[in-house]
Amino acid sequence: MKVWAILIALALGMAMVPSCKEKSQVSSRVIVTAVGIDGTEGSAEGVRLAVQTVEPLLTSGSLTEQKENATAVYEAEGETVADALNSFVSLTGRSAFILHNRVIAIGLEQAKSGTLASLTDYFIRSREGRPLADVVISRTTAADLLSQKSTAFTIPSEQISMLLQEGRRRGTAVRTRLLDLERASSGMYDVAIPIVEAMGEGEESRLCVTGTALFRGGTYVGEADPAATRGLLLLQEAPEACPYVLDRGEEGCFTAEIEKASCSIRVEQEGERAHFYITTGIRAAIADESRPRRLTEEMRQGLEKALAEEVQADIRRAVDQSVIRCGCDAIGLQRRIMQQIPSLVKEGSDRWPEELRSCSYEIEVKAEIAQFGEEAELSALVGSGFTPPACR
Amino acid sequence: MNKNTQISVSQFVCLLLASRLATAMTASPAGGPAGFGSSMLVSMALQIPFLLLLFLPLWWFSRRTGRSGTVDDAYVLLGKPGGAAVAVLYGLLCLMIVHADLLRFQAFVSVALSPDMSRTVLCAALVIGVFFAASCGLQAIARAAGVAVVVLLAVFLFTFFSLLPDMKGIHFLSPLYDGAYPILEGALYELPRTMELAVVGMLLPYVRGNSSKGYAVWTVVLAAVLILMQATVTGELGDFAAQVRFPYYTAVTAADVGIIQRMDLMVIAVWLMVLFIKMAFYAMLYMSCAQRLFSKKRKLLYAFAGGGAVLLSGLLLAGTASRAAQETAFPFYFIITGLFVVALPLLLTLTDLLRERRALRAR
Amino acid sequence: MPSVKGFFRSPGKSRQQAAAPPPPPHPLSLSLIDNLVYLRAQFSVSSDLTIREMEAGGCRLAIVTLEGMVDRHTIADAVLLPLSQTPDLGGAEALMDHVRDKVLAMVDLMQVVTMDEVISLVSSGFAAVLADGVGYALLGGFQNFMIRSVGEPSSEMTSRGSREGFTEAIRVNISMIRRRMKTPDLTFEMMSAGKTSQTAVCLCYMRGRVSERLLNDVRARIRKLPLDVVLESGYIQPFLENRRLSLFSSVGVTERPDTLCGKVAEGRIGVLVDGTPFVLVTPTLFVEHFQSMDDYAVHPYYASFLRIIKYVSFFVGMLLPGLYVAVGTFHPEMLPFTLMLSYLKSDLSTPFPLVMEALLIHFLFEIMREAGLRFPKAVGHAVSIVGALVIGESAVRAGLIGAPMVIIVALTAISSFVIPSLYGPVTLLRFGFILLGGTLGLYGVMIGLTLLLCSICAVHIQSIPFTAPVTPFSLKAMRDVLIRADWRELWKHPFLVQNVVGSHLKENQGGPDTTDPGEE
Repeated sequence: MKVWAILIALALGMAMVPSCKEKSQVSSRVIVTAVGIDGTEGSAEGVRLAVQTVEPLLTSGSLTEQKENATAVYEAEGETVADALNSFVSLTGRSAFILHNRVIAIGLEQAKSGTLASLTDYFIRSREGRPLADVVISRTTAADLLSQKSTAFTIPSEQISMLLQEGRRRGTAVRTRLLDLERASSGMYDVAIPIVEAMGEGEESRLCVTGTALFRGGTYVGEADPAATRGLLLLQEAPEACPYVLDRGEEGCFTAEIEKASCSIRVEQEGERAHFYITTGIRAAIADESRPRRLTEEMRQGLEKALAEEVQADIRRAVDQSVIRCGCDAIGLQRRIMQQIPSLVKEGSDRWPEELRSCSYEIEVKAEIAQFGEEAELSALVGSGFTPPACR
Repeated sequence: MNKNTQISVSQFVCLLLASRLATAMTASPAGGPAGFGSSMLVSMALQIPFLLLLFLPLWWFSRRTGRSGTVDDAYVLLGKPGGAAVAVLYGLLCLMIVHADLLRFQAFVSVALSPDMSRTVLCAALVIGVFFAASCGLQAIARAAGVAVVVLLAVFLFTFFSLLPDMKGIHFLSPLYDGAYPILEGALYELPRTMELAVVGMLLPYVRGNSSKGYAVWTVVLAAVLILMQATVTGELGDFAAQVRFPYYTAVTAADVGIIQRMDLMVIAVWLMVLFIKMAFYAMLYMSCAQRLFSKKRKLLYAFAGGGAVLLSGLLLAGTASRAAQETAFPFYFIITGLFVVALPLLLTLTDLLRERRALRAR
Repeated sequence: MPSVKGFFRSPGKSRQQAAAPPPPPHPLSLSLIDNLVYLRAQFSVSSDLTIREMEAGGCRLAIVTLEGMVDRHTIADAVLLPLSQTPDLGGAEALMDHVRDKVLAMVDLMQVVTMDEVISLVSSGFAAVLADGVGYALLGGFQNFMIRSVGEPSSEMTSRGSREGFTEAIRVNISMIRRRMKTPDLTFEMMSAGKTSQTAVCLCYMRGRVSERLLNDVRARIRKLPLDVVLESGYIQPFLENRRLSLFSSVGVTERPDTLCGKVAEGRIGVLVDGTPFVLVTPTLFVEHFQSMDDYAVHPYYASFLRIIKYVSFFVGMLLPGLYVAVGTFHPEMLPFTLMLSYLKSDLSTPFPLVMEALLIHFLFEIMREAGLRFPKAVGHAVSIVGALVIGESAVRAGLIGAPMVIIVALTAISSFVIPSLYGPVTLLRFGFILLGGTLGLYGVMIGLTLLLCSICAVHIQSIPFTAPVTPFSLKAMRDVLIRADWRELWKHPFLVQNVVGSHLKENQGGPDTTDPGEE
């Protein structure tokens, strides 16, 4: 073997050996599980960052064994988010490791006064920014939200993630991630971000989603109530277990759970405006009945009609509150015009998306409710001597 | 390379695919067409006829000269000085491609890498490994390319399907939204990235089987993969892709598959494998040009010279200079493609035609 | 200090040394005394040379043996006694005819005319009969040296299949092969290797299936062996390979006769070396390291499962520590959050960087493994207990290493032993990948892996690609690579190694290949 090749290999090895002295890059940093962004008190400029951290040595797989101070919230101020994170180093002596950051919370006041782009730009640019981190708005301050202790999760930010995940399934909360903000920053559509607040005091406090913040072009423009939130989710085809309570008077009270929602939006041109045909198909199942008895076909059809009306109302509310009132195109309506009637947008590009407020919307909902068991079978059972529970 | 070195048509296809996809995965929209992602889907499909058209001069050349290869035929047709000039041009081209890949690697790792890692040592390890692999020869690199391409395609498909639930249909607009011009512009912009065309002429004598058919298969498979990649990017990012430096990498960062929290690292690892093979391929071609020019026996010297030059210039030029180079890369690559893909084969073919006519007249 | 010029010059010219031509063979003299003087001079003061001179049939003759190599009693009864009773036959020629036809009545009787052959055969346990006035010697086999009995092979255990393994005696090994392949095409070609040791080497192949070019090449390489002494097949192995710098050898080793028969039936050549039970097989493809006799004896579904386990074990044994170090040091974001917390807890509790920990612990393991091989059996158990305590519990409790690292070492070690033939290369590569992972992270591991891939792809044996049939790819051949197809499919397309995809052996048949396939 050539002597020089050995010498070069040794030289390379010696160059590599100093790198071996480094311990894991994470061991000298603080693990960040959630970041909260608020404004500084008494100053329009500047941000106040709340950083929820976890100390690995104090954690445990079991809540009962975990030390109380396993998670902590630090607050740091700076002119920008990056500047505040830099200040954070002086508080802890370690830099922040945000690669496992799950939640970015923004205080409502800060969201109203600033733009989303300025607040989240650091996380979008940074290689450590996780695109799947959840973004929420805190009704009070982000620091308050992050300071909430959890009785069910070892890491408190997990609670927020689970809240949004389940909320999306059940039609109570939209789920917005950093990726959605990235997409929205290009102007394709707007975002709607869930508003989370802590309800109750002390040990009884719990986190709830109490609304949806609407943004247009990254600026806060209003809020959607829970019904409109549900409508937005239906338009996004998100719900998998969304309950609707249908009071049918004498027939009783039924809870229909939406298992699947499909939505198609068709656009037609009406002069210089667009007419939207929103068709939503719902498949639901009866979760419970206040007076369980045989469901006749007529009753079932009535229920379907009632459900369709409720869903239609929610979708109408979503469109009214987000698009018409606030001009927030969270549904991507302009994008659909660009897909179906591109000339409409191209010819009057300066009027859109403002023009969406004056467009007309026709919403049609078709609901289908699955029945448990067939009438014929049930009557056969009754004829055989079987007594249905309701009749006993 | 000696005449006994032969690779199969499928290995030829894999080599070209690996080379092109290594570029495509870190392609940046900077300085390129700003059309919507959907138009790029058609632009990628348009690569097929364009690449086939560009292959015609080489095809004509290979039919006439019995597939001796551009460098060898240059020695025969243009004499020793002409042949040497062609060998020098090819050698410099291959070295330049290796250098450009190293710059691309550095540009990418500055975005994706941890700052704790020594970039100098990483680049040195890459260059040394590349030139060592280059010394293994064409067959070894072609075989390795076969494995790498299969792994790469599997990762592409896996990434696509893991991102599919998150993709949005409203990200896709009509490809003709801004007319046909962006489609054409996008297709033309992609062509110079296909530097493989420039060296196909060198490879032809070493392909066992119908190389023209292999080339055609390559263009179709390449277009299909590029469409898949573009669909992934557009479906995941939409118009946001135009704002990021490495759209495919950014799209992949959004993938979250169970226990693997960061799919992008897996994609980067596979990209590095393919990039390595691409660089080794061009390094091997550079060394074969050097052997053609000088002595066949000083392979190690050529490796040291080439590797040293690439590493030094790569480390020194990383940063501002490389950014400037990126801005001017498109017209430069267009010239290179025109010279090696069209002009040189045509020149050699016409010279051969003239010689034949002279010989006929002389009789 | 080597010169720069010399460094860059091709090794072809610089390493060739003019080989001294072998001395001409010494012919047997007509004079018995001259022959005996020559023999005594050759063996010098060696005390095992036994020369029994006697008069028989009116002539002087001598019986030459080496003590301990022959059966003295059989020689006394079958040779000496009849010779002593031989009447005068009228000359040395007639006496030797009588010895040939009546005395040395055995199937392996040999007649030689040179002293070199006499010495070689006597050293192999033959008894030589030399007569005064005759220019040749007659030799008969009276071997009675102690050899190890046929037992289970130590390195290739199977759960189903033959329990016989090769022994140190080449003739016994040949008989074991012949018993299994009762075809006249099976050929054993004897040669010798080692200028001093003159070790018997036998090429075993099937005429009609083996490639002539390959065979000529192997013959030429063995003939040109520059070694002085050949004591093990491993001495010859490097000379049969093409690529020096490769960690993986294109020459396989087996201790099992059934395995060798299978390989020979596929057109390969077995090289048996006297004195060792390990037989070389050339050419060997990379995928064959993952095949064993078990695979062909059990149900194909289970056999396919075993194959997959072997491939996974190979990658685990080679890459797991390096990947763990890379991910733990540079890419902890790849780990799920709770797993990362567990890892960090152990990392923060230990003093060493992960790469140092990995290198240290794997090095310790290799020390213990090597010690375990050399220790007498009586203390072997103590060593394993010490190993478990030292590496395991105590080190973790003392906070020297983390618990995950112990698990990694255990998994790696067990995985490495799944494919014993690759243990050496996998061990070396493991350390390389740990270093790469610890300094350059996942990127270093990928660079190393790709370089390894290129290096393996560069290996070929007489233009047979080492990585076939994976690359160059052959779908048909894959039925016995990743999976093991049913025998009802396998028998339809018999595999011949020279026909593997990418091989050019079919195109070039004839004389030995003098070009180095490693040079391109």
